Amino acid sequence: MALRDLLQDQITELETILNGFGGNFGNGVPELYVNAITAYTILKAGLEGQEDIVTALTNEITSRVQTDTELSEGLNLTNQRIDNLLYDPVPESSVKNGSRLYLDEFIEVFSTDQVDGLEQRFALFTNALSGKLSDLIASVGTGITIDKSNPAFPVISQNRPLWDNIQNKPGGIQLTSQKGQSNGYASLDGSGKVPVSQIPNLNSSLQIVSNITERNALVLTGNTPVLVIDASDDSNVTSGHAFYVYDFANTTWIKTSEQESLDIILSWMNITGKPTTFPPEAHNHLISEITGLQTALDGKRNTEDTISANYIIQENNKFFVSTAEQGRWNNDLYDFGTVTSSPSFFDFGLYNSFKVTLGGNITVNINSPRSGQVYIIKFIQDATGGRTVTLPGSSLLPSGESINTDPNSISLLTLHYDGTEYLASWKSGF
Amino acid sequence: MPQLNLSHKFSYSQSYRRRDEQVAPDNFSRYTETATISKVYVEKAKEIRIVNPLFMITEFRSKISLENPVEFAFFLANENIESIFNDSYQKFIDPNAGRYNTIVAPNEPIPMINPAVLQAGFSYRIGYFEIPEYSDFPDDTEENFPFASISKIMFDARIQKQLAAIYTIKSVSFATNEQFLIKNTNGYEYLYLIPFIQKIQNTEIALAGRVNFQLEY
Repeated sequence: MALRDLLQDQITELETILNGFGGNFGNGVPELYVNAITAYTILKAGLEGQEDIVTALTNEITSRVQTDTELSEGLNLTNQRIDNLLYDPVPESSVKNGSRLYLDEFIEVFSTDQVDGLEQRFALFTNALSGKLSDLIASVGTGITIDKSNPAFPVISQNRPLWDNIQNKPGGIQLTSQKGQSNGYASLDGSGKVPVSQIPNLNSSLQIVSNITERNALVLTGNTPVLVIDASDDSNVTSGHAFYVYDFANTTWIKTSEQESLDIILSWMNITGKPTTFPPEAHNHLISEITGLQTALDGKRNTEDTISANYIIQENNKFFVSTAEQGRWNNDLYDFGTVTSSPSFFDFGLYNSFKVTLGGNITVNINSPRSGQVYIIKFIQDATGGRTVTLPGSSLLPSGESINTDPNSISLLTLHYDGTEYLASWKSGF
Repeated sequence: MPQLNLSHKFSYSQSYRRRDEQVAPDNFSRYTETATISKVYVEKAKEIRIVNPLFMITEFRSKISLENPVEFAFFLANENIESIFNDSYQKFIDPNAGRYNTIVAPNEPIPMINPAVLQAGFSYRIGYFEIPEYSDFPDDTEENFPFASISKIMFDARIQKQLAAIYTIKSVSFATNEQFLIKNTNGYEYLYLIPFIQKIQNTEIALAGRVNFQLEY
C-alpha cells in the first residue's frame, strides 16, 4: 500500500472516531479525544505535505527527462563532429563531385570541424607530450637523475648506473675485493712476491711406495715423481719396479720406465750412430715366418700334375691339331654313300678324297673350296647305271673325258682348284 | 591624379569528378569551375600605379595538394573582352545577384559586367558547369579546359591585354609593399582582376577573399 493511501486510511479512521465523540463532554474533554485531534491534525498536514513532495518530484522528473534529451542530442552532435574529424564526411564518389558551384557546397568537403579538430588534436597532443615529458622517471638502478624544473625540457643531470647495470663492459675483470679470495687472484707482498699463504702446498719430492695400491692412495698436491717397488699390478709391467710421474692437472699417471725397459719409443730415424749399411748374415726362415708365403705357394701347380692344353700357347712351329684336321692330313676318305640328288661336297678344307655311289643324276656343289687343293672323287654307278654328273660351272674338262655310265662302273674325278676355276679330269675303265 | 582605395571580393572554385567514380555511360571525368571577374575603369590613363595590394583570404580549401596554384592577375584591357566567354559551352552566371540565376546557352553572349557595383555589391561570377574534361571520350586526349575555363581570358591570344602583376593565392592573408607603375601606352580602359588556375586540378578547390589596393592614375 502506498504511503498516501495509508495516510488517507488513518485520517478516515480518525474522523470516524472523532465523529463518534459527538462533542458531548460532560466531565471535560477526554485526553483520548485531544490525542485523536492532534494525530488527525498531524496526519492531515502530512498528507498535504506528501502531495507537495509528489508534485515536486514529478516536476523534477520532467525536468530531468528534458535535460537528458538535450544531453543526448548534444552527445549525438558531438559524436557526429568527432566522426567528421576522424573521417572524410564526403564519400569518394559523391554525386556532387564535378558539380559544385557554391562555396558552401565545398564546406561539407572541407568542414570547419576538421580544421578545428586538427587544432584541438594538436593542442591535445602538445599537452599530452608535455605531460609525458613531466612524467619521465628513471629507475634507481640506472643512477639517472632528471632535472624537471622545466617540465617541457627535462634535463638528465646525473648518470651513474650501478656496475651491474652497465652494458658491454669488458669481460674477465676481477675486483680488488676478490684479491686473495677464493676464485679471485693472488696479491703481492712488499717484496713483489706472492705470500706463502696464497700458494698451494705443492709437494713434488720423490715418493717411494711398495706397490700400485699405495701409489693410488697417495694424496698429492702437484706434479710428483713416484717410484713403485713392485709395479706388477700395472698391466704394462711384467715384474719389478717402475717409475711414474703424477700429472696433477689431468690426474693421470705417466709411466716413464720400468725394471725391464724404459718406456721410450724411438723411431729408427732418431737413432744416431747406427750403421749406414745393413748386410744381414745368411740365415733361414720357416715358411710360417714369411707373411703370405704359404698362400702364394698354395696357388702354385704341383710338379706331378698334368697340364691342360688350354694353358699352352701355340707357336709358329708348334700347333695343336683337331680330329678333323688330323683326318685331312691323313687323307681320309669321306663316303657319302648312295646319293640321288646333288650332294654338297662340303668343306674341302677337311677332306680331299670322297666316295659317292650314284643313285641318280647329280651336280657337284663344292662349299668353301681352298685354292691349290686337289680333290679326288670316286663315283660308282648303281646297278641301274646311266647316272650323270654335272661339274661346277667354272670347271675345265679335257675333250673326250666323261664319266662311265655303265651299271656298277667306277669313274674317278680329279679336280684341281686354283682359286678361280676347277681343272677336271675323268678316269674310268677300272 | 585620382587616388582610389579599392577593395574587390573575389572567389574561385573548381569541382572535379574522376572518370572511375561513375559507371557507364557517365564514366567520364568532368569539372565545374567558377570565378569572379572584376574590373576597374581607369579612363585610358597613360600611367597607372598599383600600391600595396593586400589579399585577405577568408576561405581556402583544397582536398589534395595543387600542382598549379590558384593565381590572381592584374591586367589592362579594353571593355568587353569578357565576350571571350561567348563560346560553345553552357555557363551559369551570377550577375551581381549572389547566386547563379542566369543560364547562358552555348554561343549566347554573357550579361554585361557593371564595374560600378562590383566593389560594394555582389561579385560578378561566371561558372562553367559540368564540363567533360576531354572532348573525345573515351580516348581522353583532347582537353576542354583551354576552351572552357576562366583562365582563357588570360591565355587566349585573341585578347589584347597588358599584364600588370600576378600573385599566387595562399591559404593565409598576405600583404605586399609593392608599388608598381604601369605604362598604359595602348590606352586600355579597364584594369581586370581575375583569379584563375592554369590547368584543371583533379580535386576540389574553393577559395574566397577580398583584395585591397590603392590605385593611382
